[in-house]
Amino acid sequence: MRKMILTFIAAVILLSSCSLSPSVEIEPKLYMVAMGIGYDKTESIRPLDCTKGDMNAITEQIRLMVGGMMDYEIVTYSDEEDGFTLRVSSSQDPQEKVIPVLGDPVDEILKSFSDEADENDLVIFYYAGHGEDVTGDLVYHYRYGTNDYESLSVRDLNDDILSKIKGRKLLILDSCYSGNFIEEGDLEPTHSYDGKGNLESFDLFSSIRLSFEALNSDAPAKPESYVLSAASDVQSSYENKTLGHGYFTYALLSYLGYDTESETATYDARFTNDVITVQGLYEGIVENFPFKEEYKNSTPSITPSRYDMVLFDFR
Amino acid sequence: MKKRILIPIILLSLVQGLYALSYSAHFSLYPGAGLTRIKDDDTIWTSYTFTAEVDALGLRAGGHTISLPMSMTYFSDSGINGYYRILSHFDFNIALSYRYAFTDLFSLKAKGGIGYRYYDGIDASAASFIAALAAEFYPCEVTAITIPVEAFIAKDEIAISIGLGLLVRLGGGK
Repeated sequence: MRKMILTFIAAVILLSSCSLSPSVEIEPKLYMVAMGIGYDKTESIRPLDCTKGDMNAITEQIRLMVGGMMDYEIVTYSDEEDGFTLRVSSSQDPQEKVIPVLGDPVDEILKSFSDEADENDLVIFYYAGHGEDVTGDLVYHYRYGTNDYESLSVRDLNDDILSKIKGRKLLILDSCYSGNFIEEGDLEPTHSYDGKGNLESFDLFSSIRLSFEALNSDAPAKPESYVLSAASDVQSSYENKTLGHGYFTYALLSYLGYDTESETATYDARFTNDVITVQGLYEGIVENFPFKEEYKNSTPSITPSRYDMVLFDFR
Repeated sequence: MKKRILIPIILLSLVQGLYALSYSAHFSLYPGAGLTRIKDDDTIWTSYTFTAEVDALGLRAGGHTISLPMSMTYFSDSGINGYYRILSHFDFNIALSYRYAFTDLFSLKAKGGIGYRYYDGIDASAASFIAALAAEFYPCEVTAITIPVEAFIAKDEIAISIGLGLLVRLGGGK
């Protein structure tokens, strides 16, 4: 009897001290929404020449880079000839499915994904289009031939959309005043801007003062989502027909290895055995910014956080 | 007003009567290892550190030295854990320090102060505070081996760095 009790106790200890099923590490999946709005089917909004090209180039480049490495679902959204259109592709089904947008664009985009992101998955939202004056609200939809348009505010995006999506989130915004989408972090940006929105030279004493004031901030150390914006909250962003891209997206594409001469996605060998992180993208954008003299009035910005997030791991 | 000036002068002359005050300067360089802990995060983030310290505003009286050292510590990027890492940064500090020479061969230094942290990769900054204890071993008059243990405190974060490096003392003596 005593032997049985001892055996039972030993079995309980053994079972409780080890996991019955081996832990399986699940590879993250990429969910990407890319919007490129040209505004060429309305007269009330100034058309943009490069936004659709930006959207196509960035999705092609990312598709090439992650292909074979991680599962992905990519949805593009733009104003095409017959109306706003979604183009859906995935690693399982690379053939593009074309879906006309008939209802609410946000709902249709969310519905177009085959499943939901989990906590480790990577969710990238890319936007190239107009940002409204002052607020930076994203002008993502309009009714063809009318003056009606819809825009997405910081609150709409965070409260109604992003908060409902799990996963590690990165917003890449190539639009005017897009710095409004950068939420307060627990660090203080060292960039400051004058009344005209021009980047001011670094002021150490002001930076020290703001750093100590930030001790009272309630912002969490790890942000809910990261933002890379083409401009600060008081600046415009620009495109250039000769480049064929917005300055910001051009810099991003150049860093990722996209061949901007031939407009083809290429894999850059320098990423072999390396990782691409949010901070790496920001540094790459700053380094590859095409017109250095324009940097002062269209300054790429990043969510200020001590945590850097890994996007793609090629190791 | 005269009183305010006279009292410190009298006190200083009394102290000088007991001990001869003299100028003291130390310069040190040390690499180290850093461990960082952030609120609501179970990970202990590891990084390399490198510190340069200029301690040139010191007054020595007997075995006691007080000074205002200025230092710069570089923390490298941490290793990646899960899908995150902690960014590299520079900590610039100014502190008040007290050093006591137990013997000609061994001193202990304590310091505490404030700092400015700069994250070069993302152009951002933060306020920080420093507290440190360093053991110094003097095999010769001018040079010492220093083993500092430093705590860097920022909002929701504490980082401990343990270093081993060289210290140069100008003026010699204890």
